[in-house]
Amino acid sequence: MNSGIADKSGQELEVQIIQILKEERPEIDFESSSDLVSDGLIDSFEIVMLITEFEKKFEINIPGDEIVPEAFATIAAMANLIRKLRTGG
Amino acid sequence: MAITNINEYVLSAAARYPNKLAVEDDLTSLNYQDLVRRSALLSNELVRAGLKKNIPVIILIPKSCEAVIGIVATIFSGGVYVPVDVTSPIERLKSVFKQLGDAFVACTDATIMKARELVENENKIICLNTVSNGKGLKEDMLTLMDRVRERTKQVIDQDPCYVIFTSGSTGVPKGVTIAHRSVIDYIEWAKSEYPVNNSHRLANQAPFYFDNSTLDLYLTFSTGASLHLPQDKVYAFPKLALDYLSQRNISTIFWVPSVLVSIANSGLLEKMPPKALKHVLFAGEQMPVPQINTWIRALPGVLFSNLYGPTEVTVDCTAYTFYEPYEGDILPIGHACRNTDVLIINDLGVECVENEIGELYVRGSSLSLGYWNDKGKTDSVFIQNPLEKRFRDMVYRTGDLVRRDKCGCISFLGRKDSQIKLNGYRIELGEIEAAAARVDGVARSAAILDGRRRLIVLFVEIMEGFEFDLVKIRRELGQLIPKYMLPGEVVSIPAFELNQNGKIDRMKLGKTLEEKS
Repeated sequence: MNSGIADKSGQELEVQIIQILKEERPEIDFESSSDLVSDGLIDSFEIVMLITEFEKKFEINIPGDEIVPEAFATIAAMANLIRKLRTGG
Repeated sequence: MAITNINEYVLSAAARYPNKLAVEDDLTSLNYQDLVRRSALLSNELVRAGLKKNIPVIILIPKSCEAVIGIVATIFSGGVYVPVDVTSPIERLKSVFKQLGDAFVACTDATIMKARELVENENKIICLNTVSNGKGLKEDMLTLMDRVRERTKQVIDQDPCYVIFTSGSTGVPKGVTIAHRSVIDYIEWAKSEYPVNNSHRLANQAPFYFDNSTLDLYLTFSTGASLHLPQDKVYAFPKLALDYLSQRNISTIFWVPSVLVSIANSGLLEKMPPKALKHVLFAGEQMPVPQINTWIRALPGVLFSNLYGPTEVTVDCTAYTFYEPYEGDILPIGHACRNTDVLIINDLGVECVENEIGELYVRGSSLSLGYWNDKGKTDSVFIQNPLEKRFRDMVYRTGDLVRRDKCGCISFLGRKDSQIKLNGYRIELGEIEAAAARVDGVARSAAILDGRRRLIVLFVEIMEGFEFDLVKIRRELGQLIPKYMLPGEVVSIPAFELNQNGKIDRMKLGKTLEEKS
C-alpha cells in the first residue's frame, strides 16, 4: 500500500508515534502505561525532543497551550493531538 | 562578624523569621522554625548513629522538603552531605559509595530498599519516616538546639559541607568536595549581584545533585526568602511552568537554558508573562540569543544573568548580567565574581593577550578542596599558579577554552577534552564509552555529541560472533550510567577508522553525523 495519505488515518499514526518513541528509548514498553508522564517513562527533556520530532515528521506546529501533560499521557492522546492539529491547520 | 559556616544562614533565618515559609513542595511546606526543628531531630539521630564531623551522608531522597531536611540535618551534625540521583542505577550509586569510603545514608520509606542495596550495615541507614517528630522524646527541643549550636561552633570555614559527584572520563565518578567558606563566598557575591530579600520567592529547577541548587538553597536561607520545589514535569510543559511562576508569585529563578528555550519557543511568554519575576538566572550550557531575547522582550525591566562555572569552583566564577535584548551572536560569560580571579593561559603557559584563546584557570576561596579520596586526580587539575613562583597559590584548570575582549568581558568557546554539556548536565563522553566496554559483544565504541539534534550518538564496533542488539545495549547501559548520559542513538559500524595517532577518528564520526542531517 502506498504510504502518504493512507497512513494518516486509523492505526497508522499510532504506529508511527511508537516508532519515534522506540527510537528514543527502545527498552521501554510504551503501550502498557496508562500515563507515560506520571509514570516517569518520559521526562521533561524527552518531551521537548518529542515535540520537535512530531513537528518535523507530521509537518505540524504544536502551539504552547497544547503542550500539556494530558496530551502526552498515552500514545492515543498524542495521536489525537496530532490529528487535531493536522485537520485544524 | 563574618560567619564561619553555612549552618548559620539557616539558624539566623529561623531566629529572624520563624514563621516565614522556608521550603515548599507539592505535598508539604515548612516554615523556618519547622525546618530547623525537624533538621535538629534528624541531626540528633544521625549523631546517635555515630555520624562524626566531616563524615559524608548520602542524601538518597528525591527532591522534596524531606531532602532539604536531610541536607540541613547533615550540616547541623558537622557532616558532609552528598546529594545523589535516586534514579541512578545501583551500580553507579555503589561506585559513589565506594569512593566515599565511609558514609551514612539518609533515605525515606520510598528509597529504603535502595539504601539497603547500597549499604550492608543497617546502622548507617537513617530513614526520615522513622525519625521522631519530637513528641515523647527524652530530650526537649531546647536541649537538641543547644547541641546543634554546639556542633555548629566546631565547624570552621575550611571544613567540607558537600560533595557533588560529576562524570569521570574513566568511568569512576569524581566527588567534588566543597568547603563552607566557598559557599559563603559564593552566596555573599550572589546577594550583592542579585538583590534578593525576605519578600522574594525562588523556584528551583536544578536537581540537588547538580550544584546550581546551591544558589537556590543558600540564597534563600541567607535572605529569609522562600524556596519552591516544583515537580519535574512542570519544566517539561511551558504552560505548567508559567502557571507555576504566576500562581506562586515567584521572583527569582535559576534554571537551565534548555528549559528557558522550550518556554521561549512555546509562544506563551508574551501571552502569560509571570508578573512577579524579577531575576532570571541561567547556567549549565550556552543560552541561545534569540530565545533569551524573547524572554527579555516579554519581561521588560527584569534582571537576566548568564552564569558560568564548573562544580570545582563552587557553582559559578563569572557572570554576565543584562536587562536589554542582547545584540551579539553569542552571549558572553562576563566577568569574574567577587573575590574570584580568572586567568586565561595559552599553550605556552603565558597569560593571553586581548582576544587570544586560552584555557581558563580560576583562583580564589571558591576552589574545591579537591576530589574526595582521589589525590591523583586532584593534583592533576588543582595546581600551583604557573604565573606565581614566590608563594603558594592554587588554581583550578577548568579545561574550558575562552577569550577576553577589550572590555574584559569573557566568552566561552569550547572544551579542551571530550567533556560535553547536555541539558545542563556535565558528561564525560569517556564515561559512556567505559560503560559500553562492559556490554557483552561491544569491541570498541565512541560517543559523540550531535549538537544539532541535541543528543549523544554512540558508535559501536561489534565483536565477531555477536549480533548488534540495540535494545540489549541500551538496557545494559541503563544499568551502569544515569539516564541523562544514555545515548539517544546507537549506531553499529563495521570498523572504526583511525587517525594518525592510531586513535578512533572522532572528527570523521562527527562529519558522518553532519552528512546524515
